Amino acid sequence: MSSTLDLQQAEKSPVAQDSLLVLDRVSKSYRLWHRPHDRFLYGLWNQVPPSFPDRVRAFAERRKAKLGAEVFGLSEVTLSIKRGKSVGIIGLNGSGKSTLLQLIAGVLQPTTGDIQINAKRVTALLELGSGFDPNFTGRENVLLHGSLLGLTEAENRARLPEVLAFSEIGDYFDNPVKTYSSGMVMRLAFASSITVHADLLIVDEALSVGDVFFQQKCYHKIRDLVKGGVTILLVSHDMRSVGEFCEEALLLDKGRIAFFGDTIQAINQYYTISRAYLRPSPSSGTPPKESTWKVTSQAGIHQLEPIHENNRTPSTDAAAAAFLGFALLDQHGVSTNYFHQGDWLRLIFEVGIASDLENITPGVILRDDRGLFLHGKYEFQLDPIKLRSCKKGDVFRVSYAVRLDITAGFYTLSLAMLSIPATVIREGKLSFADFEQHHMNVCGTGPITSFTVSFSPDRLGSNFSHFGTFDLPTRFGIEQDEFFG
Amino acid sequence: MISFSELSKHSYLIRQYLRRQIALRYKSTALGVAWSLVNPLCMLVIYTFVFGVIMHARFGLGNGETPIDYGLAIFCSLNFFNLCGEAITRSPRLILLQPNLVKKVVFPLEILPIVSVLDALVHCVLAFVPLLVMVAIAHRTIPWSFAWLPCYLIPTTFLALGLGLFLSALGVFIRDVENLVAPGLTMLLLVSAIFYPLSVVPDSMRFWYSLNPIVIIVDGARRSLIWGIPPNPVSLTMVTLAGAIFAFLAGAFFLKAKPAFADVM
Repeated sequence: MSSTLDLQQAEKSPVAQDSLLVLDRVSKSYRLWHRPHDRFLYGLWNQVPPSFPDRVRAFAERRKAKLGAEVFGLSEVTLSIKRGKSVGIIGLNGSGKSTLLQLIAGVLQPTTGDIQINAKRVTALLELGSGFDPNFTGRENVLLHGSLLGLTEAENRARLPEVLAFSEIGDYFDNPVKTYSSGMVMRLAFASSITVHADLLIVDEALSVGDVFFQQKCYHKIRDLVKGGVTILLVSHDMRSVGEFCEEALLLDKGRIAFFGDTIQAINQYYTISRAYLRPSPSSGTPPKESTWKVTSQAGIHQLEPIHENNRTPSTDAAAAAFLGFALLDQHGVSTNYFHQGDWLRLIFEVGIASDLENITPGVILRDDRGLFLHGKYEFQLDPIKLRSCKKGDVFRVSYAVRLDITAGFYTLSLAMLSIPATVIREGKLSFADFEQHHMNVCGTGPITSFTVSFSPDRLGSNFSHFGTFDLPTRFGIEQDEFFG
Repeated sequence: MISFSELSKHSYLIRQYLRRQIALRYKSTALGVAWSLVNPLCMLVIYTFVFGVIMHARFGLGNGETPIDYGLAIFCSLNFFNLCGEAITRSPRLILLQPNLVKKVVFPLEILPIVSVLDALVHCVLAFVPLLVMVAIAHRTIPWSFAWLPCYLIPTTFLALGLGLFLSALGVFIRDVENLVAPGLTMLLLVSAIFYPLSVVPDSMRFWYSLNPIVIIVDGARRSLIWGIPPNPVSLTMVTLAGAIFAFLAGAFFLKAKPAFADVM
């Protein structure tokens, strides 16, 4: 009898046995309440039972609609996560990542839909230490935390030595948390969270705090937990840690699932989405006034995108020269913003000259998604040193190519032009000290375009060429010992 | 609805928070716990002097009622009243003061008002110690009547729990509650027959007074504890039941409102 019941139960529920977490059309809408008590009135109108006459229900609906504007944080998210997986959750700001985590952690309730968690225990590293009571000692807080998560008193006490060892806070353990430094609070909270034997661990960029050694320790610990079969949800803007940690990734865009599956594909899609947002909208601001410079249309086979004069330095027409337009191409000359590791990137840009200039040299600057200067190269840095001279009214195009031996990510390009007096170049050589002292900036730009580099599908062996930012020329071999070999 | 097994699961949390809250009250004061004895004693002297000696007020219950008896009766009544009074003043801001526990972690918020009431209860019980001693000195006997104390404390605790749970949930959504409690509490104090015997209340108002559970508690309590008159079992049972039902409903209301707290904080 009971076995039939179980079978029926199993048939009814769409949940596979190994699914740890199932979200069924989960939506969370926020209302921007005009006043806090509007939320209370909303709750009251919500109590109108469905058995009431339509007229009454319609009235209640109208009253509810007046109480605040509805904003969707998350809509119709359906998702199933298997036990033991480590899943990254990525998306731009405001895409609903944190809302999703808070729903799974149980801090927020879904507006509609159903969340099923088949976990014995869930811990969330949402904001480390935010649940601690500053008046309690570290020990008391750890015990309270464990008790909140349903540990028995014996289990709770048994984990104290491990917490103490991992957090490295020593004698402070029995001092009130309000006397701790912020780093100590974070370490204690992390140590407490990972020792509760949770089977679902939710991490929300919590690890971006603390010194680098403790961060590494945390990542090691999380790796161990993953090996031990703990399911991990990691929310991060850092694609490197997502790529490193997660077997699967969930990409959210405007509160909806844009992609769920292979991490690398998800990261690539993330960059595609972010690129669409990064393009400045043409309608924004005042319409650009008629510029003295026009991108030449007669020469060349490539259509150039104009560089807006607000993006030029100096931005006045009085500049001696200006960058006018550019085209970003792949190695086959096709216009693109999307590259694989090891591909050649080609950039064609157009320069307009407003007064006679001698000994100028154009350059291109590569920055990463955080604006960090990664690489800059001017034409003069190629061998032999080559400087150009131009006449007023000249317009010419420069072609630049670079091999993208860099890690997968999101990058921007900027342009610059220098002039270097010919006198400091002696016998075809230029020292760094002379360059620093004598070079002059002619003109430049802010980031003119962005592009994405993803792991190469065509690469032999591993699809990632190296770790770290740049790939350096590298050789490996076995050293033969000549005497004893 | 209210799951008592849930509450027992949180007993460790409740114990810890209660212990901490009691410690916080007296931590870093020179006299420490002695304050909960010194304070009531000072008040007792003032009540006796102002109401008993200067105003010659009497409850008219015992033979040869002295000014001290009057002071003791008021002190006893106020002790019960304050248990509810503390719940009323503290609750509206109780949840609002803990945004982290609402928005950052999953926390059984219902234990906050419960701990707050238990804390007040501990101090209420402590304050009965000087009262017991004073009654013993004034009447020169051991006041066995204090055995009835729990009969009155239980319904008062229920009432305080109900008020605490209800007002703390309501205070999250309706911030005006906070401004209402101060004048509300003073009004409640004056209509709860603390400073005057029920016998001076006009007959036409008696019905309304009988609806106030605090009146039933304080009037019965001072008769029993100070003058040794046994409690009225019917009204005491009624008031206990009503208190329990109120606390239960308030708890249900709290749990119903709890998921929405995070939306407005």
